[in-house]
Amino acid sequence: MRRVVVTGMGLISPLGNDPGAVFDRLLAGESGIRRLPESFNPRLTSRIVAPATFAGETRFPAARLRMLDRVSQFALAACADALADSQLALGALDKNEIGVAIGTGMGGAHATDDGYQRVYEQHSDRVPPFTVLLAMTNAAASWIGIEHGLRGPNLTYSTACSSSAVAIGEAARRIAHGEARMMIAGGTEAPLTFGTLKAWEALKTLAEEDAANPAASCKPFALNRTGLVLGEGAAILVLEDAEHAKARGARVHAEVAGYGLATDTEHITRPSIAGQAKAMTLALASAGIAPAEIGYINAHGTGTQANDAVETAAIKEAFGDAARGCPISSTKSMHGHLLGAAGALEFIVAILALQRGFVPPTAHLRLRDPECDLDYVAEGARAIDAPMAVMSNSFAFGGTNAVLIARRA
Amino acid sequence: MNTSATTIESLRTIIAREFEVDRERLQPDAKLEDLDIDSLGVIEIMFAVEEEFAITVRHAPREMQASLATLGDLASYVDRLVAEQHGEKKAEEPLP
Repeated sequence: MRRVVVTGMGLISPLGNDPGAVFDRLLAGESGIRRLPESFNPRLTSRIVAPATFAGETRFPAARLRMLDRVSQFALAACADALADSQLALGALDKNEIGVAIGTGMGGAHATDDGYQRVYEQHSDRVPPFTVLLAMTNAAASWIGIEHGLRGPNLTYSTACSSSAVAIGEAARRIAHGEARMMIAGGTEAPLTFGTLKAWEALKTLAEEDAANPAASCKPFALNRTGLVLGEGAAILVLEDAEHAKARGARVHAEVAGYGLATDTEHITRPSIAGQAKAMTLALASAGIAPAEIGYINAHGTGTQANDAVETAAIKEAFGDAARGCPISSTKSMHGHLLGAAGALEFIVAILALQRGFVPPTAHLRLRDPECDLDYVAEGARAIDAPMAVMSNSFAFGGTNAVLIARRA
Repeated sequence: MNTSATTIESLRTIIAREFEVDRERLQPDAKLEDLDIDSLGVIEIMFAVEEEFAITVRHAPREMQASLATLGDLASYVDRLVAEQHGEKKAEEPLP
């Protein structure tokens, strides 16, 4: 099996579009969560979201933009940044050996919403001609392949909130098995449309607005947590065969050391301790490291009643005695839940924690929940002794639990 | 070919707007290929044309593109559809 390393990282996120700067804001406890203005749509009940700072028209010419849903715009922009970060000279490489693996929960939600609005609300028979091409779930991955001429496997994973963790894990396995030299892997999501927000509202899982401070509405692991906050953005990594990276003198961010997948089968939304714990245990086993060697866990930590208590119990089950000594945080308290992009964004956050030796806090955690009694780094950013490895948890509606481990390269 | 000047002008406006092409390049003999307008581009133009001329374009892109090489071809095609669907003049030849 070949070793796989991360040599490039790119982000579009509610806290900005530069990974290092985003990490600094997370350390400072800054939140990208805010209240949508009434003008967005007065019929919306839940207005707390985490929008990305991103204007497609500044990145793409108008004719191109019409072919790209916001979800693909995010992916292409984050991919360009990741490739720049990797300092790869793509032109000199065999592009048959480079693939793409992207996770997304919904695909082109804006195009879908816009098309439905025309048909159902405006009673128009005229739907924009590229609606299918914008909305199809694999559009983002396909555009990355087209833009850079990457002829290796082009894959899209849609396992709800674990989509991009799965994409990264599966991409790493392709490289490990020698089926690709390099993979562009990550996730993208652009769910902040009226129709999508109404659907989430109906599910009663969205956080209530914090009256005093809307930016503090998402409170993972807190006794007064009320739910998740939807965010948008993309996170893309360049994964590379470690030997190849070494040969070209690449700067390596981290090794993709472990990946665990386990599925809950009891319920479509309710998480299970066993499933989450199993995914963590499998990831540790595939990395060949002990729980005590994990220096930080970026938790799934959605801020829902169910997830946070179950995740706490699952970490205890998987880590045993090491659970209490491990700093854990949910950065969703600040960047919101990016659904299909969440796993990749949070894996990048975990890698930056590994590189910098600092752990971002779980923001807005004032009232402790006795059921969530691990070290959730509530007090603010914390310096940690150079850890050997970090973990990122991604769990999902539908039950696909995915866990990634990054090791110091 | 009996293409009306107004049709050409409307198409020039649509294409200049949608594809950000300099109007001067949009002469009747300009090849769509040279303007970087591919089969999807033709579909995009037709979407605007349907609205502008109140017509329905039924043909699949492959069939359309095979017979539509230049801006002038596109204008003739639109004129024929208008004639057929609005009866302003009799179609001179069958649609491509």
